[in-house]
Amino acid sequence: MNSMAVPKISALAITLNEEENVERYIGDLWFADEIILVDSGSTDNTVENALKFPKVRVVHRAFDNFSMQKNFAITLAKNDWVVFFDLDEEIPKALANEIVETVKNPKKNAYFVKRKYHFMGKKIRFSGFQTDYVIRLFNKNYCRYNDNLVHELIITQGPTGKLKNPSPHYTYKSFDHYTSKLHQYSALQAQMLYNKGKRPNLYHFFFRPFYRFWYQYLIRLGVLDGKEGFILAYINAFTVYKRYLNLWLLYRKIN
Amino acid sequence: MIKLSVIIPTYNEEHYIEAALKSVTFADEIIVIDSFSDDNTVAIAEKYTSKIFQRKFDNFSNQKNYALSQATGEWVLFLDADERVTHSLENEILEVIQNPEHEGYKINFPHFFMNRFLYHHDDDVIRLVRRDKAKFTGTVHEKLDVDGSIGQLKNFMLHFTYKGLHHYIQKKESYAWFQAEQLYAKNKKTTYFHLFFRPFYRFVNSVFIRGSFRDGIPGITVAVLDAYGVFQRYVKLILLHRKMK
Repeated sequence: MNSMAVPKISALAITLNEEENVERYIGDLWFADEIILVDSGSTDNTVENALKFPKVRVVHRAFDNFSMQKNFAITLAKNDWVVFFDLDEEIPKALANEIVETVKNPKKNAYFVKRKYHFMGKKIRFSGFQTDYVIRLFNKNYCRYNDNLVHELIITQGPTGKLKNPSPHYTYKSFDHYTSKLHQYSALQAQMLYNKGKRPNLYHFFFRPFYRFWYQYLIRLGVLDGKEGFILAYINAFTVYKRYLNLWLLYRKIN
Repeated sequence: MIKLSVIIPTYNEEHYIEAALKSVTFADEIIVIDSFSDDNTVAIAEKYTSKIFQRKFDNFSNQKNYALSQATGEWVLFLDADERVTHSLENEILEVIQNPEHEGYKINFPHFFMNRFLYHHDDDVIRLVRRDKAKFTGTVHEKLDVDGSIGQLKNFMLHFTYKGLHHYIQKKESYAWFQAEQLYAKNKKTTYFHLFFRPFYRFVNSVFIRGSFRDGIPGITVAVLDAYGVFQRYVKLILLHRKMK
């Protein structure tokens, strides 16, 4: 292979009802040799829209949890080097070029990308997002997702590096959509704690949400993000409360 | 003239209506005012009463005023499909209408939440009235106007509203939109005071002044969710000004 040629990179993603993002997402991946979507039963036009593009393969798999779904996607990749973005993350030209250059001569086994977070139409600079680095480019031979039901993380063997160019991150569709995702997380996290036999106590109900709020709002400088900083700290603290509340309900077999 | 009519407004209440009807068989007449349910509500109600009226829903006031116009009892008790009259409440109602001191009576509703009743988070609502003294006004939150004095019954009404945590939160979410739209129509804007203080005040008021902490985790949770509802109202007001959802 000519060293100036684009190295072969597999782009992976897991999808469920992403019709408004999928075409932009695939367009962002012009540098990829193959694009594989593991879809867990979209009922909108995600799959049709994706298959309009030549390099795309869609594989169906019923959703059990994020880690299993993503690890399954990794097994489908032909190439060693993989990019694994969420569909609401954009890959600007500068980041794409940096990915291609990095893979030509990789020095690490995995690379972090800084996300630029948007919420309620505003860019969030603080509130904990100043260090929102996630592994998005990696060599599949050294990396797997861990077995957390939510907030799955990549476990890497060997050294990791950071890419310079950020990825704009647009998770926000509507406030109710945003909070319903958090409801889902809190329920899954409660299930994880339940499986481990943890019981909620007053410390969890009173101290943890309170701490989460002040940590995010003051220590992580959410206060500098204006009203959005307050709102994010509040809903995250509320999600912590709901995690323990869901756990409390699980032990009592109440919905 | 017959003594007591019960009015039950319904819309798709097949899971709740039968127990409600059973709890008021002591009344002289039962009037079901249905907004064209497409489940078995009407079929179930027919087992208990022949006075079933179907009327297209416009708002609660008109619906209930129409039912009032069909009632013939001297006294009227309003009941929702997910509410139950207990035996002690039944006895108290029958006694009170024999020797009334007032034109209307409030009934206390402890809040049913997470499969238990929260006695420190309750509401008093006028539900028993002399028919010729009563009229509903207001389109969204209908209010029962009574021409005369109001008393209070001692016994509780049972009210089974809880259908899961997520359902409860979703109701709060859609209600917050509704309240935000009302504030938006008045051209109100969200300030830091609204975001910081209003939810906090609601929480403190509910937990310490109404004493909901005495109902344990569900009691505290209702306070947390009430505060969250207030918080959401002001978040959604920001979104309305930004033309976002």
